[in-house]
Amino acid sequence: MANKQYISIIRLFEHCGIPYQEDINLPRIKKQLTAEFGIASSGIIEIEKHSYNKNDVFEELERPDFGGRLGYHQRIWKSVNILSFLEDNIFYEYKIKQEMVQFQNDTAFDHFFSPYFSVSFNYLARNYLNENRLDDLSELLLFEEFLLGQDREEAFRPVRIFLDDNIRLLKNTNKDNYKLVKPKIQHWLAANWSNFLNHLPHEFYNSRNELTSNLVNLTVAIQKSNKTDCRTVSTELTCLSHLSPELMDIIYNNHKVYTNTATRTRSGNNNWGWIIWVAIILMRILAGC
Amino acid sequence: MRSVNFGIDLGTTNSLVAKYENNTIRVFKNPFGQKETLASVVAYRKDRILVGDKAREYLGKDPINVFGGFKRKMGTDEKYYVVNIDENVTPVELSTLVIKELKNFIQGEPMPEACVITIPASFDSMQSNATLKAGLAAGFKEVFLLQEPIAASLAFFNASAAAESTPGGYWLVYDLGGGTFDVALVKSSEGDLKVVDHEGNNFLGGMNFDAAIIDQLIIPAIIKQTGIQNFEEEFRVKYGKYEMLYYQVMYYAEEAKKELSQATETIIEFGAVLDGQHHDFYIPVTRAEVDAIFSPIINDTIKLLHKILENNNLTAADINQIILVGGSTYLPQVREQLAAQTKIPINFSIDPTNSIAVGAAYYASNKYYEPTAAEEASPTNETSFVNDIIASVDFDPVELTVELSYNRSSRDTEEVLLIICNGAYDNKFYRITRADGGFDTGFINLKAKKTEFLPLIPSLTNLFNLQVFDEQKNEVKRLAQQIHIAQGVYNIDGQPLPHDICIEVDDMENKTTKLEVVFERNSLLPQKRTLYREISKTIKKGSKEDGIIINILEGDRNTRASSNLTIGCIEISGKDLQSDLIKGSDIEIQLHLTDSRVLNTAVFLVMTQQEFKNVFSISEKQVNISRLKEQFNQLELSLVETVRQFQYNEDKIWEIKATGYLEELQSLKKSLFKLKDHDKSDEKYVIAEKMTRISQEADKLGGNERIAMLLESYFNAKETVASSITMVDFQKDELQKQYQKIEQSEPSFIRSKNVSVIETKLKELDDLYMRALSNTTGFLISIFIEYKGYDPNDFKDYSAAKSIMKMADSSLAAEKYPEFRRHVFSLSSLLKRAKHNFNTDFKGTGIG
Repeated sequence: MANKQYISIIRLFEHCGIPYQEDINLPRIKKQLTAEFGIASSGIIEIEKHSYNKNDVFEELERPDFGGRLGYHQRIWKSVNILSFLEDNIFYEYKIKQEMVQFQNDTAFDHFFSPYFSVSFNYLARNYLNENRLDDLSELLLFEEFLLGQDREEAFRPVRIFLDDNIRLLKNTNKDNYKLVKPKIQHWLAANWSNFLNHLPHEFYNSRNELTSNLVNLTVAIQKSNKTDCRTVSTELTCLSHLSPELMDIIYNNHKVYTNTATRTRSGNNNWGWIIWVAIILMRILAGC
Repeated sequence: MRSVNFGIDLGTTNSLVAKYENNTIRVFKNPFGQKETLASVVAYRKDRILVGDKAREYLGKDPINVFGGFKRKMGTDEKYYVVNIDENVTPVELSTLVIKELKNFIQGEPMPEACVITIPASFDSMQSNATLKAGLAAGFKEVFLLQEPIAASLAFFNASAAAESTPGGYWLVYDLGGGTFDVALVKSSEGDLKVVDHEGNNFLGGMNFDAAIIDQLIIPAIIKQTGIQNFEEEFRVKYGKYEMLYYQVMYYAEEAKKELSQATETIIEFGAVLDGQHHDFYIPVTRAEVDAIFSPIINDTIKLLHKILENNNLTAADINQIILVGGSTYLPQVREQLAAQTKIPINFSIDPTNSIAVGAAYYASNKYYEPTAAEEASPTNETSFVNDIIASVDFDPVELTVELSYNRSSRDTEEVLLIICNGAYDNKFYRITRADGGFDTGFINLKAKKTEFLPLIPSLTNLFNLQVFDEQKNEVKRLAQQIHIAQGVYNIDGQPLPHDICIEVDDMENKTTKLEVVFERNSLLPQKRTLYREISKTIKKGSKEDGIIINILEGDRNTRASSNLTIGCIEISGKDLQSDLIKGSDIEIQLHLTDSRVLNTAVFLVMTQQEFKNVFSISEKQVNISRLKEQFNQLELSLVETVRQFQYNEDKIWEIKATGYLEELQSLKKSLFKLKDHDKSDEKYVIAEKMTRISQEADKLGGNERIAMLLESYFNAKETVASSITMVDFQKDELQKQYQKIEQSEPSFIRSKNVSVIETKLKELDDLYMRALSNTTGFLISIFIEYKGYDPNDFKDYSAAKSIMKMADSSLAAEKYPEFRRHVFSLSSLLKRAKHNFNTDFKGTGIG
């Protein structure tokens, strides 16, 4: 079953007047909650638009490690930004970063946090990608270390689909169909996507390289016909990190060509030799992948 | 709020009503005849309607106007034509009459406004909703449904608790009723009772034994004696020429079955006019004959019993006892075959006839409802009602209400009491005392909500008095309440969901749809959840063609959507929209499944800010015989193709499996294609149920044997990973935890029997193995040496690789192993085709 959205058990404890700060009496808590659920209309306790059902609450209470988890529930309850991120998918990167400091190097917390985080991560990633907010997504990606094991698959699913689609799309883009494809690749023609690729986690290493190569090819294809787009993409490419030195060289060399070309175009000069040379190298690299 | 207290067993052949009263259960008797059971039979005479035993007796005189066994048709579109009134009646209407008649059993006290009605555990939502509908139509303001095995468990454990201490552990409740079969796995520990899992068949019960006697003994005897061609076919036709004989024979078969429970032989004797000629039939039947024809039916129940054990990784040795419930467990064949085949001790200590009603009443004691004004005003002499009174005081201009919530039964030595006050509670006090004087809270200020833990005297019904006092400590007598808590009585937390509830969502990667579980099978009801999804295509405002379909299904998450039952479907087309709905915009789907499995949905489209609310209580299942035949042909074709594929792959084991399903399916062919569109028997439902089951298994086909192979690979890989982790030099703790996490998930994924889930776990183990190796210095050194021997063309960037190799050599010489490890990872990422994949799941290694 997919991971569930986080919902703080502390809100329920506070609502029911259950003490949770010191040593807890689990059998008593369960009894009290049974009575609360018993009297709640339709058996669901609604607090501030959050719905608690007995099954989920008792599943949490009956976990063998609940004692330890309770501490995290309490700390998250006090960390309002993490709480609203997990419960309502509201993401304030800077504030969350500050609140997450307390959990640094706490592997038990990572295991607690990861399943819930993956749900919110997936939701936000989908939204950001749909709205072409790659810059915002890049900030979210800074928290990827809190995703463990199979939770990563759920969390990154939208990113993976997005990358695969774009690799395919860019691979099939050339100067002739560029105008037709342009609306679909608009996000690469805007500034500030380099951080998105830079922050992608290690499992996307190959996708990132392939996508980067495709973007380099795009710039080569449109350097004459769509100079502004070409320079925008190229400028972002120069901001990429974690690439092989050879690919970086190509990006920088190309960028020089595009920017020089711009200058020379104004003075009426062209340098085709550079472009052909770069394209040949690129094709060799791609053929080797 | 008041507790419900009344429980009804709405059975296929008999129904009962019981009430919880101060830790005892009272099963009501029919004021006429003083029997606890009411035959679930309705007879329509020209001038009146008879319900119960009288109706059953009428079967012999006017069978075409007498109806029984309609429980098996709840939730279907079946209608019964009543000749005497020239009208059709539905199973819901007939059940309503039975429930109304049961209400007449309740004498000398106010008529209840709410009740618990039991249903087979495997009833789907349509069948459950139909039962709910019948209860409401019978005049109850509120109806709670309870699964029969839970009721049986409560009856058994409470009966045992009274007599002796019941050992903890697993139990099986085997409930073979008149028309349905359920088997439930129950776990008892430290006073808690939990239904862990269950299986069932809604078309398997005593009536199947009767039908077997008719099919295999009576019909052949009639054909042999009369020589009537196509008698069997004509005999089954609804409203056909042998209509009366059909019902008479059903009665004789049932009587013969009962007699053979005691004797070794009997005679079915009756006279009938067939095709204008009178015949006297004299059919001797022996116990050995019925043993043989009952055996396959009992085997079907035992198969389900084994399935439940297998699904929960249990063996017969893990089960304390099999508790027998349901009228059909009186059959000696059932008891003998069950004991012989399962080797589990059989317990038939509880009365199979009334245990469901008794358990329902126990459950009802802890269910609450809001009484109507009329009932609130009515006198409630029973102390058991007192605890839930919502009282008001006349001395105060602002109404004060005091509401209590607590368990009326407990196995613990203390029980919680929740006191909820509304109105002017400031400066007022409460005090709770135990009747024996052993407990007194003293005066405590009333608040909006207070919690008290009440100590209980073991094995007794503990009586507490709650008093409310004003500022001057004068008692407000009208607010006094009594609280009864029976110590030593089992209670059950809630009832499990019998099937997965799923939503059908697009699988964009594979360009198909898939089922996503919303509420998991066996999770306790009620359930509520909000799903956040996105629209996968743009829908133009006003468009009739485009739309979204939110399909909510009940069944098995591991099967195709088409193998499941649609319990809710919301279609939103472009013409419902206030503006365009753009691909990728958000949709919020809230699903709420009540205790009685009524599905409430609320769909919110964030972009258009529109909300669509629906309540689904679908109560009719359509089984169209022509459609059933088409489905049969499709399923048969699909299975034939599957068998062919396995043959081609020379996969003998899977081929045998697939062939088994195909043969099982084909065994239904004769019966199905014999059915006419107007067949009156249950046959079409029996066949439909079996076909669904085969279809579901066929969905998983290729899986079952493959699962065994995959599991074998899994356990081998696990062993390898475990030993490799012991040898790692880095990240040992993290790898151990990852390993433990996989190990912890083992029971659930093995139980899931889902090929893809096991494959994922196997892949996780493979990845973990690679991670373990990549954290072992010895392995890294050997890999590094191997890399150094690679051709320059093997690397994406050989110059970079060469410089990394140099650095790695220096690190190795200096015994800086963490640094060396990083260099090896960097080298691996420079390989054109990764020969050792380290890119899987480790943090901060700096690959690339």
